[in-house]
Amino acid sequence: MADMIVSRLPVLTWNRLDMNEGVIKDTDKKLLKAAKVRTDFETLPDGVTSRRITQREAASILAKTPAQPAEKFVAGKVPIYHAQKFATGVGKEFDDYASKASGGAELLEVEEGKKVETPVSWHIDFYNENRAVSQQIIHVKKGASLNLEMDYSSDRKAGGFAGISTKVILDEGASLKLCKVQLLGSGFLHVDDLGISFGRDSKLDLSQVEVGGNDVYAGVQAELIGDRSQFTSRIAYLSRGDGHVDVTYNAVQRGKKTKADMSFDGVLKDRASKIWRGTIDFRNGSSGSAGHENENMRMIFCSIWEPAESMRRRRRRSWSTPALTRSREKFRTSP
Amino acid sequence: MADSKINITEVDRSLYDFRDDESKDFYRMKEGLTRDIVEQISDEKNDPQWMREFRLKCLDLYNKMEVPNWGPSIEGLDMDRISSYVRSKSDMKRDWKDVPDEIKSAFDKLGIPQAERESLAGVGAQYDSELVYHNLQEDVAKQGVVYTGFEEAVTGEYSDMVKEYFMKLVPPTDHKFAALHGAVWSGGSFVYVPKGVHVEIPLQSYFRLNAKGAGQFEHTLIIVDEGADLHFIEGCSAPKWNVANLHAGCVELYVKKNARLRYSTIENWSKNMYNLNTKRALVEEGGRMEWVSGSFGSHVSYLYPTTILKGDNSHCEFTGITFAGKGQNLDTGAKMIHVGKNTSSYIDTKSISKSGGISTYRSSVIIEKSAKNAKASVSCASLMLDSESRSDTIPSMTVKTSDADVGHEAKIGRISDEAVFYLMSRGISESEARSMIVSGFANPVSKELPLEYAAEMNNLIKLEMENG
Repeated sequence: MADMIVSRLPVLTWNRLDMNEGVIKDTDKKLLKAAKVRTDFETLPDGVTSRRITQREAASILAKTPAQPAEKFVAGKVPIYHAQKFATGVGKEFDDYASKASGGAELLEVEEGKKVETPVSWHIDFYNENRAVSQQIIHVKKGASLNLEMDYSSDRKAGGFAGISTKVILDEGASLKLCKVQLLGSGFLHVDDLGISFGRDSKLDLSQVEVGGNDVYAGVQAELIGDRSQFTSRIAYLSRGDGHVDVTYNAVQRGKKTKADMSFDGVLKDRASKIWRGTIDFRNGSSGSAGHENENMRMIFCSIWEPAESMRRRRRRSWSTPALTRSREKFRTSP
Repeated sequence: MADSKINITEVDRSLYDFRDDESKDFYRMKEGLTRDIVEQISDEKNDPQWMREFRLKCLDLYNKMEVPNWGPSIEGLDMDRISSYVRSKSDMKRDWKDVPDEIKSAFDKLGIPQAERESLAGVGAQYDSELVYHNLQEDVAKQGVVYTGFEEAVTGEYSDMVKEYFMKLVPPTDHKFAALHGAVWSGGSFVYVPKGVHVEIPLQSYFRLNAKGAGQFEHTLIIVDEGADLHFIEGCSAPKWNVANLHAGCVELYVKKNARLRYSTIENWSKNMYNLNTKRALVEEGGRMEWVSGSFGSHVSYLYPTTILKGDNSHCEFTGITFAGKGQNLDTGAKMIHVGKNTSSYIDTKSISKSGGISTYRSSVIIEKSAKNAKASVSCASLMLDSESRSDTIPSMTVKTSDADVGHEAKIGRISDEAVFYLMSRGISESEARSMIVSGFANPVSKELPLEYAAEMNNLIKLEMENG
């Protein structure tokens, strides 16, 4: 049974605490058969385009992002980030897997200077009993802005594997408001891996909601490379039953006067557990930068909230469902 | 003025850096760690059979265990070049007059006899591997307080008590250097404070490692019985050598029902020292444990005093400061394990790094399922004095019950230019302004220390900040 190591802590601590990394067990059973996910937007605002690209094209686009200075060791000994050309929160092993399994990526681009006020919704439906991976690259070009809402759902009690790999490139002065909502069925293993490369004066406002699934791994790597870049994030999670939530956020502040502000709020119910790893890393050269993180967590043992079907099946305009495996479920909806 | 901004000097360590001639009147065991060496140490100590077997078991464990993969590098530490046992040919004395002149002179320079006269209830002085002096004031002894060398306790009147408690709180299986300690321990103190006795003035042990390429492995066992109260102070220093020295001591503290123990340490090892020390306390119902810790010396430190709040309503406070300068990688912090109901803990630490020093605050707070209504608070602040230095904060919290209130706050930063500018606008020089800011930063810790230690700590900080 192969295990996948995910969400490594940038600096290791006592092994007996079991928080240096997350482990997805038995990946040969859970992940290897993953199918590709296709997304077709019906309409997109002017200045915003979407297309399917190959893995080679994806690598070429990501290679053009500002270089992240290599730092393989911290405190003289402990290996720091695993070498990824474009760093992500869940890390190299999942990223490699996602690249291979998805066979390409969806590229969403916002043309230079274009300010898109209307939210663009991007829904990905994992249906029932699927194993699927979706890879996206979101490129907001110089001076442009976008408001993007992504949500992932399935049938209410469905299980399977839902892998999401999102890479965001923010050019100079670009701005992105990104909302990610996960409403998967209660049997899903969900991995949401996000990496962001910040250009000068760029901004990302991230809201992430993880309320579905059973085992959830959410990782973010914010590389604040450009001077005066800003990262604001809020994550809310709910885990029930024997669920487990693993959240890893790394804000690496490399540019001058960068800002990171991260807040994490969650509720655990029944026997659910969570691990949260929040890192703010001020690198040499990040003078005048500020970082802030805040976590609040509640453990409760009463029934509080179930995601309403209407909400899970909520649809917004300007999107279409991905084509997944062709099994049909009674709750499936189409635009 | 521009120069004063960058000329932050190293600590003047001349107070601690004097070396004594080890060539005469000293016995030194050969370097390395073998079964023969462990048996020789056991012979030297006239260990009872159980202790001899324990040492050999620990050696086996040491050989099987891995070096930690998570902390600062200890690659420069080669046990084949460390002598585990060095002692003066003189026995332990109870009067400073009888201590050999060169050793007495060392402790005189450190001010220990003077401190004993002025402000301590008892003093233990360890030089290399053995205690050379131990004394307890008569009126304190009359209260039933026991303060003796650890080896005396192993074979003497308190041997049963020692056997019951020795390395039970820090088992040799805990980590590689706990196993090493179990194999080669030597020297240290045993303290027992009977029920209801309040020791009004502190006891102090001072550890001096003079020998080049040697290790010091003292064991400290303190039992504060029900309703008793004690303040214990530990000091340590060493001269600087160009080879590695090792300190792998072990401190086990038992705080019984409604008792209180304050354990203060100023650690000022030389910068060739690997300080891999283990300290742990077990607190019973209504007990109170207070740690005050200042870490200034050593090349590499791994130091995380641990407190197990076993009894209901028990409480612990940890106040610490770490100052890492050039060539130092100090990994320090604390661990709190809440087991009893209504337990509470508070960690307040400060760390300062300069001239490329690396300071890491590492902590763990564990709230067990049984620890209903536990409260824990962690506050750590780090100050980097230049852009070469590094400061990491790695707190962890594990909560296994829903009835707990756990909070954490961390701050990391450099001296703000605005604060310096403000002070300078009031007529204070830049270096003085920086020194004031650092002293103010460290003040919450220094005010917890006994006066003479607070003065020593403030002096160290001042020296760090003074112009070259």
